[in-house]
Amino acid sequence: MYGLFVFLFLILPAVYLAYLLNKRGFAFKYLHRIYLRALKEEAKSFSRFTFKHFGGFLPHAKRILFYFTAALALILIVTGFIPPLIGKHLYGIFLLVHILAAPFFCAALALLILLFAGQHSLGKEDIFRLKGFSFKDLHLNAHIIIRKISFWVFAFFSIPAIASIALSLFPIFGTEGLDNLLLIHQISVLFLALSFFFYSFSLLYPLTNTKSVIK
Amino acid sequence: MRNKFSFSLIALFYLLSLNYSLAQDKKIGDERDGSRSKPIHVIKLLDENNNIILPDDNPQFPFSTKYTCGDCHSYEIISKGYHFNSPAAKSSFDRNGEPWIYLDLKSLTVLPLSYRGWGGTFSPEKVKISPFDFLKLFGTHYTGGRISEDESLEKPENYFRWEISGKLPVNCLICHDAGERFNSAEYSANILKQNFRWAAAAGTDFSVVKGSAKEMPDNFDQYNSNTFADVDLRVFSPPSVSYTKPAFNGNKVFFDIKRRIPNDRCYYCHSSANADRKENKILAADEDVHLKKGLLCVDCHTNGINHEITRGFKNDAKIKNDPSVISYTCEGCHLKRENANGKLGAPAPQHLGLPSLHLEKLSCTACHSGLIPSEKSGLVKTSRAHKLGLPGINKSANLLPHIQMPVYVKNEEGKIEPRKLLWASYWAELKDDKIAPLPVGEFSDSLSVLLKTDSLKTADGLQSVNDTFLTKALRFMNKNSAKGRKIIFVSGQNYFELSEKSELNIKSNADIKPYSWALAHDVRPAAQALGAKGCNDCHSWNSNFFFGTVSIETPYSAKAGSLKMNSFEELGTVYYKLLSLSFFFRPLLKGIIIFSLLVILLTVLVFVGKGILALAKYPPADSENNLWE
Repeated sequence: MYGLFVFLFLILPAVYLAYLLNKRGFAFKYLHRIYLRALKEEAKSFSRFTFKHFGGFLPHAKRILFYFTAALALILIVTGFIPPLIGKHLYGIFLLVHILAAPFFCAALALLILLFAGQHSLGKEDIFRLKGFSFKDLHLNAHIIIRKISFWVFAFFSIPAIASIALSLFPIFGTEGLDNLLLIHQISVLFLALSFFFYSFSLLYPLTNTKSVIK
Repeated sequence: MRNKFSFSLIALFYLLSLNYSLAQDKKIGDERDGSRSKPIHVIKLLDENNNIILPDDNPQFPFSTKYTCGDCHSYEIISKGYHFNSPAAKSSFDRNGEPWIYLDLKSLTVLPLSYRGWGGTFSPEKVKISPFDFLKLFGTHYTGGRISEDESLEKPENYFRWEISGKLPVNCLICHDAGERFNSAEYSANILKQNFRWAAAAGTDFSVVKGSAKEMPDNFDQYNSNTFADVDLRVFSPPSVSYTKPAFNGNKVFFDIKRRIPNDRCYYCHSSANADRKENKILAADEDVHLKKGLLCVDCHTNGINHEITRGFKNDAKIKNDPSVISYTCEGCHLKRENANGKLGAPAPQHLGLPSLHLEKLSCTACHSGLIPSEKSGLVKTSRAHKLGLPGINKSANLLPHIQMPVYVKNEEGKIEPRKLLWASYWAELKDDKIAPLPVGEFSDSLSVLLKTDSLKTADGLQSVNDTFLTKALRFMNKNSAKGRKIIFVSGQNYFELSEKSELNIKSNADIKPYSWALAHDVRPAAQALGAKGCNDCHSWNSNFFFGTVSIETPYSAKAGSLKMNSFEELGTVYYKLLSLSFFFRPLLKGIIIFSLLVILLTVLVFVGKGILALAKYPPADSENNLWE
């Protein structure tokens, strides 16, 4: 059942967003190259780190944190959603990778939300961005509203997603309670992953205007 | 119209007569009347010819349970019950149980036998063990019935011995006689003397059975003393029974029969003793929690007149084609249902902190039954394998056969459950890659000389053999077997064969596996369950549940070693080692997760607060004159 939900509410929207990007000429095969190139650049700049110019390095640190969190999110999405999609429980190597990546993701996510929240706070101007909003044809800066909303959806659903697992680590709930916590986790991460895809979409959308990512 | 009426009348008459005849088939004791009181059994004793036994009879004959009990209870139905019968066709839902273990130290043979066709056991018929021989070997803990009374199964060579020993009908008393003075061991002792006809009487407190049918010659006739004239009567006497007269109330005798059989009766055949425990000492507290709470074995292992006893596993309901049987499983009693928690409000487990995955991958018994796993699987002695309860038995802790427990094995349902495990060792014929054990005793005497096992002084382990001995034995057996017959020795995980150059080869075969069967008792309460102390009970680097060792029992010492528990569980070593690491770092991970959660929660709250504040300040104060804009 959960597998069906994943398919309907995660895979289909993700495919649709990918289709929109692809339609605008976005080449997904270059995605990992973009990611690695950006990471390399940030790492280079970080190697020149000195405490004297600490303030100047903060944006680089933020970007590295973002890339790191995105990579972990991708790992969690792959390991967490593939088993239910094929009708299995999270078990074996998937479970192992999932539980090993999860704490690092939590820590990175907390930092990310803390550092990025200010930039994603909603303002009056965002109401104007919503006017005439259409996924098929996003007008100038309209992707920013997607980014902001998906950020807050992401932040909001990360709370039950993490809390449900944190609670299950203690002998407070019985098996039935743990099943309910798992259900809360599963539903929350569905929204979490969905918002992650929208956020990524909002980041990639402006790139379709540059030649580097066009087919 | 007239024809129709006549037809209806005939049909009505037929139905009425059928109903009448069916009612006639039921005996007085076949159906309960609803009274919870104990039915008092003051009854006539009937012998095997259905003649009444009187206190002053001379000579006195042993009573037959078939007729004495069968007077009021349908023996034909009862004798098809689980303990007394084995199905002609094995149900695919059947579950392995404890086998009868044939042991021959001389020929290094340990062979699990069963008439039930359990995978990994061998039918006694296949290894040429006749029903009479079966009783000689295992009758001490056999309840009687089927093989011990069905003439069609008898072998001609045992004809005279059957005539002397008599049949062994289902011994109802071995379970149902709740009298304090009922003596199961005396029943067993008489089975050893081949006094089958007398064995049931021997157990009662009002009969004294003497003599030994085993020592009587083949032409023995108790009415003709000439037939046993050669027997030294100072040493062996012909089998006989005498009844104590005060036990008779007129022509009747009191039997202390109970429907709810006391546990002691079950324990006679179903005891397990942890062999590692000093002097076989059993602590009073070490018993199944259900029994300590006041339940009896038969409260769960129940049955009707057909004596199809409930075995307590999930598929038993399918075998018996009775869905209600499922209520006698662990889940049936303890899991929450709409109306009640199973029977007698059995506590529903909370399983605090236990993810449901465990309930899918493990049987209830994995955490709650048997001994807590230790570094090395222990040895266990069972009533049937080690003849516990008989006077004068060898009480050595390491007495053969070596049954190991607990060994965690993946069962047919894909769940891990604790089992008892036995490594077989036997001589066999290899044909088309199929292994068939040789008839027991075929080469036993020759082998004992060749392998020098004829001077054994201990029964604590099979004598070790090396390449030279095995080569010699196999060469001898292959030479003395029919042409084209390939004799091998199966032991541990391998079989041993001779190459064309008469060199010893050690090979593997998919059929060579240890035999294991589920153990369900003693059940430990939640506080003593595996995992009660935390996840580390199982998920630790050297967890005994995954990485405890199970010895490979084989007389060929070079191949004797051990296997890790996870090989029986069919689980990977690397994965569970890595998983255990995650539990090692779990306190740290918990800290990280909780701290992260608090940071996210605070950040979201701060910004939500800011948003609310912004909304409260909107529109700005200078728009106070345009209230609705």
